[in-house]
Amino acid sequence: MDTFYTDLLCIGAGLAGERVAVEAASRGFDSICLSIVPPRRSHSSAAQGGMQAALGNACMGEGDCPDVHFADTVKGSDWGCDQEVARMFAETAPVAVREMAHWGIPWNRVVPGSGTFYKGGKEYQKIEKKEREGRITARDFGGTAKWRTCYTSDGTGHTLLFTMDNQVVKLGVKVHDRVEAVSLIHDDQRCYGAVARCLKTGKLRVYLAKATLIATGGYGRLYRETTNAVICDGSGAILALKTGVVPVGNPEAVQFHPTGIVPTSILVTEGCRGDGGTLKDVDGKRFMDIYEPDKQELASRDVVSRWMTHHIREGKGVKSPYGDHLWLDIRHLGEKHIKTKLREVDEICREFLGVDPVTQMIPVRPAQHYSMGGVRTNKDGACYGLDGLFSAGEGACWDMHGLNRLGGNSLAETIVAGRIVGQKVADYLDGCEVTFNTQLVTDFVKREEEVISRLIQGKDGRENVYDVRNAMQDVMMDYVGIFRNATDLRQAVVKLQEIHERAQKVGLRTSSPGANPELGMAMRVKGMVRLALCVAYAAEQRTESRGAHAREDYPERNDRDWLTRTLATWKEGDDLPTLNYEPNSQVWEIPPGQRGYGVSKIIPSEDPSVVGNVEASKAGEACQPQDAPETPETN
Amino acid sequence: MGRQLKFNIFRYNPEDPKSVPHMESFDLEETDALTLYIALNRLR
Ligand SMILES: Cc1cc2nc3c(=O)[nH]c(=O)nc-3n(C[C@H](O)[C@H](O)[C@H](O)COP(=O)(O)OP(=O)(O)OC[C@H]3O[C@@H](n4cnc5c(N)ncnc54)[C@H](O)[C@@H]3O)c2cc1C
Repeated sequence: MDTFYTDLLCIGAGLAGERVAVEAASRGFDSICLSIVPPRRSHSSAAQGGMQAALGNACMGEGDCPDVHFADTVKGSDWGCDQEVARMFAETAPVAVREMAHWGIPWNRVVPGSGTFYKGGKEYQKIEKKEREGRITARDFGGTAKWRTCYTSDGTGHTLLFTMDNQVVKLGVKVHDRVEAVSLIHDDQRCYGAVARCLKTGKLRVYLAKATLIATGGYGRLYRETTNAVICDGSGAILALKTGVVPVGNPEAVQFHPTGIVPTSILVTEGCRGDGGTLKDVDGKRFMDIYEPDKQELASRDVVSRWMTHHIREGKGVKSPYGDHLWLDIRHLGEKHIKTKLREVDEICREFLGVDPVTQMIPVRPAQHYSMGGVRTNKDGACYGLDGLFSAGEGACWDMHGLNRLGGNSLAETIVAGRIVGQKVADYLDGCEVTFNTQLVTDFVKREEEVISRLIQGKDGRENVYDVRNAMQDVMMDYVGIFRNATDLRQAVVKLQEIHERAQKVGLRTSSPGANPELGMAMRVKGMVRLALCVAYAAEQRTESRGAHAREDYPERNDRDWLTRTLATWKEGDDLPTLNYEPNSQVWEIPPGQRGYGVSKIIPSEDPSVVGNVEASKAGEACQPQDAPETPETN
Repeated sequence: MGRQLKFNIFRYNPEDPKSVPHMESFDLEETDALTLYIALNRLR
């Protein structure tokens, strides 16, 4: 058995995993990153629009500061985030952006002089100041009071990930790609690394580490229509559930993005609407100006996605062989804008749709986009339940996003959490010594060998793994989507429990050695169904509407009963997760209030520690500039 | 009805001593905006 020893094992080589590894390596610790794909193909590279940091250089961002960014983030989360974490995040984001500039990111810069921009289809003037020339500029994203989203054209994730990977190479961090972690090695107290499978040879190997980090990204592939890559199957959350002791936080918090293209669900950035693009229906008419007169196309993405679905349900969708859709119209932005600032959108439309966005409208509809939930950690990034285990990035529930994430805040999270958690991991490693119990390691390896041999021999049955996965994706799409209600969610739970049964009876059709994607999926599918059950069951239990979680039967946000975070664990042998709850924030710098967009019925909290501080609530208002129109959220 | 597409795919698994390199054909009906990604997923 190939066995590797290291100080830090990062499961995941996206932005979050690599940023933590860079921090540990620069403090002299040996680090290995695992990745299913070559690291630069991690999903982070797909991010287009940009990352938020309150620099206030662009004229439309003037007066911005971490206080305003913090307030936007808390509002965006619908008061579901941990405010201490959101505060740390907003304060660190500007530092992290400049650090990335130092490492080589070609951020778009302020160009002085007058220019035009579009909002809700109308043209406006702006004048960039001479004294700000050459500083890092920003664009508009949804749910923000200021233009705050720093970008490199519409390939921000690409430049960030390639630059980060250069640091990884420079610092000698080892990356083992095409290697998939399949279980954590632990004794219910402490984590000692992971058992992994080489996807080229199909062989198992062991990684022993003083500290282990889960940075595996989101769980979009639980859904049929998702903007996420095919590798975003929630492995990190599955690894956590498999331990029986590490909880997944807020699994029900799933964000849909308004503009996935039809049929592939590839994302076109919120920047399209941020820059002035409009949504149109079958009659070629706009509708967001009717539903949300104030924010229009730029209301937060949960709000826009819901109105789009509503509008399609009203029969205003455009029929196609792939189902109904709506149109995104960016033609009025002009060829120059589209071919420079929305270059990737142009490419995606032409290459994947055969549509020229300069002259034609783009077929879009909402698709699953972001997982706010993930492996629950404390503010230092340390997981609950096991010592020596950390998590960061989309795979984690650190929890700055609560029940809804603002566009541009997740790239920022990977870099900021990577930096903060990286420092904490390095502190943890300082002077840390571990004794590895080889019997324990052997037991975990044997368990996986047994799973593989049963699957190949079809000992538990001959269920087709792809049928099981498709059934799960259909249930999630049809019953646990944008609008939720008790009847649908009950059905979802019952159906998923049946699918869970089937998932235990999977057997392979092809037993060929080496790279066998069917085996990989078969090893994962039971965990995926369990995670889907966590999402559906937690959504059923949460009898309120908050952020992206919209209950038709409980339309109000219930601050009295639901200022809580779901913690889901899985006991082996069960067919439902165990759900526990904790207060979603210890600190209430901004007491719950109105978001100013979306549904606004609220059952107020009666807890004096939450609402009691009237002074603080004034402070919250004060840092929200009155004159700044808000915009929708982005990617 | 769209065109009938024929995919000739090279199959070989270097890790499997029994595997012999060979071509295999698959048929698929074309739909609007069909990409290789969608086609391969359907074939699978
Ligand atoms: C289309 C799209 C556009 C976006 N645009 C924006 C944007 O403009 N602004 C913004 O802020 N956010 C955006 N986001 C969100 C943002 O890109 C992601 O949240 C963020 O990049 C996630 O980074 P990560 O490092 O946590 O995970 P990822 O980049 O997804 O990396 C996960 C890593 O884990 C590895 N991995 C997974 N499972 C295993 C396993 N079992 N064993 C070993 N390795 C494993 C993968 O190979 C990969 O290396 C966008 C998302 C999408 C889908």
